[in-house]
Amino acid sequence: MTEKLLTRNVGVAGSATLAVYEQRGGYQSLKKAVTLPPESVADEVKKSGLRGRGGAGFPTGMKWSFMPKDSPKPRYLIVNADESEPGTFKDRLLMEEDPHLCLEGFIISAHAIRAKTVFVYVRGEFVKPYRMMQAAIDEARAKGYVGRNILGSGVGCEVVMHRGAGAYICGEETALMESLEGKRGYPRLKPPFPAVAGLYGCPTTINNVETLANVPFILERGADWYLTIGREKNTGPKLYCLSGHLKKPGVYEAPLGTQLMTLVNEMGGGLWRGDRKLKAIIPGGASAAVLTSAECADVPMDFDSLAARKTMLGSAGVMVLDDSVCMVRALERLLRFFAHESCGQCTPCRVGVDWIHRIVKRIEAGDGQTGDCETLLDVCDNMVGKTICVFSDAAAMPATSFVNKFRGEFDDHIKQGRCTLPEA
Amino acid sequence: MPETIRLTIDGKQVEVEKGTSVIEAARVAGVMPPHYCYHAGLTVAGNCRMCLVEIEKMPKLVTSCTTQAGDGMVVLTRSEKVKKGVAGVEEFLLANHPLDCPICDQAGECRLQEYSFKYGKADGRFREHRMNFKKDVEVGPHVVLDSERCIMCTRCVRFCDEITKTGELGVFQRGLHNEIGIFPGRALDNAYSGNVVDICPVGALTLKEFRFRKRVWFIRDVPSVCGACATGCNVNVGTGENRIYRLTPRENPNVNGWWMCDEGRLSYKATLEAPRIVNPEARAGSGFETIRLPDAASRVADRLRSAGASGAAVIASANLTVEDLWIVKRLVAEAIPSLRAVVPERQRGADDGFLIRADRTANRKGAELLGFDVDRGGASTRSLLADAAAGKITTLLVLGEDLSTLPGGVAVLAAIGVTGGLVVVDPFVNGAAPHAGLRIPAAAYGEFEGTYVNVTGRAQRVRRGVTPRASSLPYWQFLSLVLGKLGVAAAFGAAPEILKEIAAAVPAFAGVTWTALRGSGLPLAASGAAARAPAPLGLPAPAGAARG
Amino acid sequence: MSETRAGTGGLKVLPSDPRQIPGFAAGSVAVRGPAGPEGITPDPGGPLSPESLREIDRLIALYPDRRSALLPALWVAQKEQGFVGVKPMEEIAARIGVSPAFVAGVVSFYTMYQTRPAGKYLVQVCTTLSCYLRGADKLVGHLKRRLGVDVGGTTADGKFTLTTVECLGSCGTAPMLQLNDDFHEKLDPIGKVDALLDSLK
Repeated sequence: MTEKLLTRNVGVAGSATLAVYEQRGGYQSLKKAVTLPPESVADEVKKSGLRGRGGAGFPTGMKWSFMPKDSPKPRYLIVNADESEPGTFKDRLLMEEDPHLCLEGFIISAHAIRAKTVFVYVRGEFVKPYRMMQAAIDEARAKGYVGRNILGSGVGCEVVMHRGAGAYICGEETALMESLEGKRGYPRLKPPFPAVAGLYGCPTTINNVETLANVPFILERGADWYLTIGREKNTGPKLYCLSGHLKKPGVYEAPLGTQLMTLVNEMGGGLWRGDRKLKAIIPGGASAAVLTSAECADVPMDFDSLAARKTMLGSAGVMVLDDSVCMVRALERLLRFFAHESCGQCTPCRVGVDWIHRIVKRIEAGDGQTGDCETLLDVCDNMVGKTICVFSDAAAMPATSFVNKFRGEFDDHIKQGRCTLPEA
Repeated sequence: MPETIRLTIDGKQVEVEKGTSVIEAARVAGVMPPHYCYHAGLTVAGNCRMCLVEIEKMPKLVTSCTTQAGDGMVVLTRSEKVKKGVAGVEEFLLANHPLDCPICDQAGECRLQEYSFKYGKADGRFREHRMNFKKDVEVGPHVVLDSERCIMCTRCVRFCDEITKTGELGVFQRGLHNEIGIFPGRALDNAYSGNVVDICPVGALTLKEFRFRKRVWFIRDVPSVCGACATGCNVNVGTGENRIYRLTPRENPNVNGWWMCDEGRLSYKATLEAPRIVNPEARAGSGFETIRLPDAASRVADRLRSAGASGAAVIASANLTVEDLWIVKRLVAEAIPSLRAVVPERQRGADDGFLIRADRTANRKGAELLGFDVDRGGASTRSLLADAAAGKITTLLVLGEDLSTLPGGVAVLAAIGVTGGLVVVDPFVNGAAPHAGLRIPAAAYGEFEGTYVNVTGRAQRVRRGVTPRASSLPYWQFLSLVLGKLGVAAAFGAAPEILKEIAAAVPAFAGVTWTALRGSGLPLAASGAAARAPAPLGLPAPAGAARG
Repeated sequence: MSETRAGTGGLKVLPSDPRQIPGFAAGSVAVRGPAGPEGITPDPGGPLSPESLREIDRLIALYPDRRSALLPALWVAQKEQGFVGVKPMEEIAARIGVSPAFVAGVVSFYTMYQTRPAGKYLVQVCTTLSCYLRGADKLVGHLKRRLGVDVGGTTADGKFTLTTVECLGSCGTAPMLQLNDDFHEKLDPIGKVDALLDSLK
């Protein structure tokens, strides 16, 4: 696929303005959508096979179908713009460079699930994206694309920007709702699920920014067209976030299923230093299990292929590590992040994440003891599957993969009492 | 008829109402899983993760407190998977927990200790440095917080949010730095703050008045009721070395739920701190001389006989038990017919809509049911005391009341004090005692056994946990001696015998037996209590702090 | 360094003061402030201005539920005073209808709310994995030397407060930092950050 869709306006002067967006074909989809019954819009998205781009890859059409048919309560669409997964920076790009694309996607999707209000929860640190989105909403309102009666169609949609204040856990959909309701971002017990009792106890759907940015294209050109991009059950274009030891880190759009090394070498420009070799790649953000360089040879970057390789596509945050990296130190840095971000509500995560962080920190500092790795692996096992949300799993999975796949480095640190790699 | 469902827990079949959680169904089956954050009186938090169970057809372990029981469910509470999961959670909790057992109040009634033995592992693998927090912070007038011991179950926070609706406690910081705390400049000072100490599963919250006083395995709990107001919260009187060390609430869904107020909780302190009348005493010059008990009874009988119904009167506190008051009744009905008797009203503040009543006596309802003048509005007391002050009453038998704090009482002390006609039967040397002609030591709270009827008409047992001090004795016992001296046969050996007589003679108490009052008491039919639904335990939101 | 004591089966025994364990950064040992009357030791702050109160009322009316205005209201307070002090927390609590302890709990949960005054420029350097791979630690070291403060400290002239933060969503342009509201990316070579600091009044 060579045609740029999600990133077609990136780099174009004035891309964030309504005038340029419309000039380049924008809002045609919205004009069409508000004349259609919501169900037909939802059906088209369901047929397209669009899967969530926030990390879980849950089929969007199916998620929308969980909304009740009849309910006297108000219905909400929440856009999860809390992008905080390390290695991920695609939603920020979309909001800064093509806010109208995002907005059009939000409004069409709200119509599809018969929601009259869209809350866009953007992380507190994203001040520029927040301002860009708010400016776009103001422009769109003036044009009649946002408001109680969109283009006289009778369809109403209000879009409210809401800032977070620094908490990765608020990217978890139930924690996001808690934060939106003005509380500490503690994930909720499920059931009930958001579609049944979400924001303020009302039917709610939470979708990622990139996911919804696909919707205008699906409606404009049809699900059948969308199905030709990517692979079976993993359809559509994807924004891959390349970072780490590459020559050209950045966001690159490619169909789902593009080979990992194609992304790394062709788009990322290969390793940043000619005298280094590839050591490992984390394919899907900090919560994904790491792949050794040997494992990177044949990796189609889509949800199912990565799941089959016991890792995940997640938020498509591809972090490339060369052979100067001490894997113990890298894991310590990742676990430091998780320990900092755990909400602390339930026992296994609150204690476990910090515990494994401290073990790795001690090993990294040269104070590891025999048995530390076994303890860490068992603690990870005790953390998985017993918590209110999957944050605990998100910390345990990478930790387990690092220790298992690079066990030698950990054992070395423990035996030698120091890192044996030269300082980068 | 509520819909019921059937499920199997550890091989046992139980039938429960639809909507019941698995943890409550397990309680019915007799296999309550270990738990910290779950409390039947608070909303479900599901954060401790200790009540994990395995349910057939569910891939992961689930917390039984957050899972609704389903018809046909098969639940295992001790499968291998559950054992490993629970042991893992226990290990996590102990990982950052300080090794404080030797100095922690909770030792002996600590869930962390119990579960560690029952469900935990023998070894701890945590070799890292533990989190350090401040260890003895007075968050309120009665409650001390040790954040290192806290396991973040949030029971205390939920209590302040949902039960008292005062929201003093909050959770601060994030992750392992989570700690419970109060807002700068404020305190945990609601009227029920002591309850957070009861519900705290570990020693993070302790009661200032009990801290470091006694190891709980040296304390014997006597089930009783509180005597501080007309609610009659069910309590456990914690006794040791023949003194009371603490009161803790005892569960009774019909009276106080799981709670009690701070004033009631600490009401036993008066029995330790206030000076006691130790022996029967008669005025001798400017002081008192000890006399023997039968002699005291004779003197009282003589004074009553000579003053007669017109010149004598009885003031009986509504804190006297039903049995005590029955003897008083016989005194005014048989021994000295038409002897005036008043049970003064003692009100302070207003009903708070939860557990605290304006009526600060324990047995006014009991007095009412026995036919006493319970002095609505205080008129009867005022009139009687006016007569006494005017010299019309020369012998005043005051049982359990402090004349000096009754309206018009001080004037009476001046009048009747000099004549020696004031007979004070009381545990304490109260404000009137220096003016008495005769002082008789009565048993104080915790030293007597009897029946109290609370404001809703529920008859409950107040029980003896410590032996009466020196020569103190229950009111009924002394008054029986007086009756005897007045020629009325009233030889009772123990309170149950009196209750038997009352049940036969007073319609309100028909069918009431001593054993029937065990446990959670008995609603008395005559007062309509049986037909009445249990008193709702809601507290209206105090002004200014609506939600937490 | 740790020692091996006889009788411990060859296990190394860690020093009892965690600060002596090499590589054990101060942040992981939480000797927190008291949870008592001094609470989370925030600055008292001042009463909110009429403009701020009006904005907070507007926010309360905007949402279907009053409490949703809490995070936005705290931003208003921080915008006015540079941090969220005790007094604004109480005022906001009363206006929204929640307890002050609840508000303090929310403030302390989210990392961006400051509870004490910071320097004019809050320098927030990202140190998570991708930025670490591109030299974030060197950047932090350079800033510590250049500003003469430790992480968490404020320069004597009150101009800069140096902090490290977790992933800012700018991994493709690492290493980078956030200065108040703005991102400053691709700070390699180090000279770029010097130029940035020099440009700030």
